Amino acid sequence: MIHIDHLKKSYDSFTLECSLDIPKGVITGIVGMNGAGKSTLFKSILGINLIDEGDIQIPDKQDIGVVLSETGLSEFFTVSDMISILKCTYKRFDEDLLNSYCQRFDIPLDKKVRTFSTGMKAKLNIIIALTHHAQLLILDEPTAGLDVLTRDEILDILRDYMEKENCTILISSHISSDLESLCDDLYIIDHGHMMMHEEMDTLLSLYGVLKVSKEDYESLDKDYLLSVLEEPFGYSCLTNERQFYSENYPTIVIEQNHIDTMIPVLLKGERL
Amino acid sequence: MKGLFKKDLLLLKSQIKYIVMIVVICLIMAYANSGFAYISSYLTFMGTGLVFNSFSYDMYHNEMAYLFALPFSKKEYCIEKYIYALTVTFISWLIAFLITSATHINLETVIVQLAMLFSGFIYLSITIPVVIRYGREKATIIVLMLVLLLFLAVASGATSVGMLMSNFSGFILIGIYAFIVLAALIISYRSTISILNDKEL
Amino acid sequence: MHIIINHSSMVPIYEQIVEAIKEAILSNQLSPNEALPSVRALSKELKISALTVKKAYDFLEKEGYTTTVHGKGSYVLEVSQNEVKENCLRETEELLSRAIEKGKCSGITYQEMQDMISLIMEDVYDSH
Repeated sequence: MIHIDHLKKSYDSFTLECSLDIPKGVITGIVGMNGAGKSTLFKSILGINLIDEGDIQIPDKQDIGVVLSETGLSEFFTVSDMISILKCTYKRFDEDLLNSYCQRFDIPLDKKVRTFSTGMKAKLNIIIALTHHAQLLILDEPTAGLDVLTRDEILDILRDYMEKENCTILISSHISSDLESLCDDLYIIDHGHMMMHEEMDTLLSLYGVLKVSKEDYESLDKDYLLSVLEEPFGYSCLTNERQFYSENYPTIVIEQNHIDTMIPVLLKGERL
Repeated sequence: MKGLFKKDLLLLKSQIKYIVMIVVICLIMAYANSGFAYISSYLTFMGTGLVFNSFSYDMYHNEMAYLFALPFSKKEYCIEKYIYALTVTFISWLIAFLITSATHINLETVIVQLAMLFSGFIYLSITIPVVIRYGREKATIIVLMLVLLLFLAVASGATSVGMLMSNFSGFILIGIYAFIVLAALIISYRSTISILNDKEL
Repeated sequence: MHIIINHSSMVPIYEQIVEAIKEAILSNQLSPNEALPSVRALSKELKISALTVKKAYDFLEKEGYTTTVHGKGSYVLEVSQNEVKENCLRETEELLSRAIEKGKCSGITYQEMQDMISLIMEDVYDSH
């Protein structure tokens, strides 16, 4: 669905460099710290900003639904205004569907959007992306700044859409737990580069973070360690063969397998 | 592009109070027998104000970035904006023209008012690329300085230019001015497209 | 059939799904020829990746509990009682071997092990 070949975009503070392929029918997540390059990547993919080098292929924008962080249609509009605009913009715009979503989420049609709460604005932005039967969704931090209940609602909306339309989703976030419950595939981006690309299932079942004292670390088999981070208690070690360590070192402490636990070790630790 | 027109028209609709107020002031001025040139220039430049409001809406929260995520190209955005700008300015001018012509119309008034319209277009040609490049706030300052410079240049050369112009009839002068306006608009459009393509949103 | 996933468990999620569905089939909560929920539907319900569900479904098919019709979905296969017992026997044997290996590693003698197993058996079989 999306094919990126050696994209390069330089700024003063960092350079974005990556190649990736987003296959059809898969939910791909991109996680990274603030300023890692997620929004830059998305804007480059959509052709909003120029790139220095590289080739990007995406489907026709009529088939793409987009959520960008911190922007959208003017907030001086009402939802009804937005409907008139979208009707002239997207060939397959589904007004009834948008109305039913708004009803479901208590979104008023005739009030200016700038009077909405943050959660409501976020839901509206997603709804707009989902109401023209898009085959590809590109969502840049759709759940940023939202409370946990609203985030859950939004993720459910996306799961529903995926089930009905079997589309492709590319979603970015700095909230790893959201991506864990949604994505099939994950990229970790840092300082403009992809540090890791793995299936979510593998990350959650085979990866783990070992916590060992300095002494135990000396005698530890380091063959299956990817990255090591020095800690006050000793070392945190990232491995992609959790089973090996849990079987051969039965007393070893293996952290909960969450992306949030892996990221510090991966990004701040020393690669092996 | 249709969506872009719709967007700007809806935003125009929301400024209806402002528009009505301007027209009312215009009517009052006409009733008070203010000069036709003054009324014409007033309404024309108020029209350009509406045009720049549309840019403000597009840049308030970086809405422009989102517009380009939709099926709109930067070229379409430019074309729509210029058509919108010229149309809104023309209609504002037309309202003034109709109001002043109701009482008093001759060749001189027509030519002078056309000159006002063309000046409005020149103003747009200069300001649109500047606004796209620097944003609304900075643009206001820049344009103010440019206009001041232009004014000084014209003022200093006024007498000599004035003598030169008196050799030609009104028709020819307005014809030359129209040509200048066309050239200015084309240069302006090309610059805007170039600036927009390079712009980081 | 409702599956509950324990995200904090060391058991991989796909394994948990496999076990839950197996259990449901063996206890007749799922009847032969009944359709399993679609991959997307189940991933939505459990809030996990669709690939994990697919992995579980593939595993179940390999083990002979289900069959997949391309384009339609996965269906429960008839499982004979013998096969069920075979399966249970196999699993119990595996678990016992592992437990006994572990005991041996920690230094438990042959006799100690035998005594322990008898005690546990008495307990478990008696309590029925």
